Amino acid sequence: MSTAFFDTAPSTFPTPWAARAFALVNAAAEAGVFDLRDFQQALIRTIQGYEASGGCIGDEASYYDCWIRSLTALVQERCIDPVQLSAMEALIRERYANRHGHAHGGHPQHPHDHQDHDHRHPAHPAHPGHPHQGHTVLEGGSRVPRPIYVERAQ
Amino acid sequence: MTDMDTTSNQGKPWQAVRTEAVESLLVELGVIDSARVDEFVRHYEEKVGPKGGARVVARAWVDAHFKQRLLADGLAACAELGLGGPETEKLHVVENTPTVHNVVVCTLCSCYPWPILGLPPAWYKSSAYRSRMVREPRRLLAEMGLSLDPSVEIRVWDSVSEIRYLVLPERPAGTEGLSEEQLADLVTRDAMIGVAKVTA
Repeated sequence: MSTAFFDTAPSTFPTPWAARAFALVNAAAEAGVFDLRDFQQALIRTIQGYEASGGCIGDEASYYDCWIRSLTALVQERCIDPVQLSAMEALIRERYANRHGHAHGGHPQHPHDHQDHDHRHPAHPAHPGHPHQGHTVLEGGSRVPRPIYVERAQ
Repeated sequence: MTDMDTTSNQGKPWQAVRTEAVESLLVELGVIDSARVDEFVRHYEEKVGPKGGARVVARAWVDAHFKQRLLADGLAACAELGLGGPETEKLHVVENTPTVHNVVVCTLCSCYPWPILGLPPAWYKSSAYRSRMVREPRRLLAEMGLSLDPSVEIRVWDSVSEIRYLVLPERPAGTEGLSEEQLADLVTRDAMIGVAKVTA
């Protein structure tokens, strides 16, 4: 871990979209679109898939990538048609291009260049051998939290 | 995923486009209101932060009864100070002593006591921190600037959706004359995660 990565600066959102995506999850959960715990499970799956395929979360960008992918997966499961989503994205790109004077008289070249459906990593289910599945702390009849790891005094 | 890390042909990152599209569709469906999304952004950017947790720690240092309640039920004690939120179901507070040091990690993602500490730092979410803290905490802590005596036991707590952890750091020596507010100013986010000590 580089010292540069270990900063002590106050935490904030790295980009406006990250703030929006973060808030959107909270608003959607509040509205009952999904439970925060469902989102957490989706995030865990995304991160596991990403790391299992060699990805490394080394900065805020890679983390929030996983965040927005997880949100996409959940809303597509619950209430948003992927085709509708692609169409809305194309529209947004077009609006954005027009606003910035780059209208090229047509639709964006790659309205479907974000292939989330192909990137859900179905080949990497939650690691069955993982020592911690997210619930073990409270399972087995014990409500007493225990540390996951103890490095004894020497 | 790296192939996705490019901006679109119009220069707007795909993540920004995606976020806007999801929000637009949820608004169209009538399930959320953009003003509410704005409120969440403001809340986390401006109102929530480690200062809340620092108030909790300082209170525990000066009020033994509060500390008892905090260790017994973290959320209830934080609620006494007006702190809390829907994101946390159970908050377990672990106390550092001269012989035991506690540190928090989320091995699977980024579980964190948001309402008490605000947004987690980038490194907390990193693959490196999440994997190494449960294998070689002493070494990693030393790399992060916290060298612990070999005689100190390190307990690593794995934050999950149902239960979050807050480290109650040791009160530094020489702070007997400080007010609760002055004490709170000494307490850092990193000390409450367990990767630093509080110094006077």
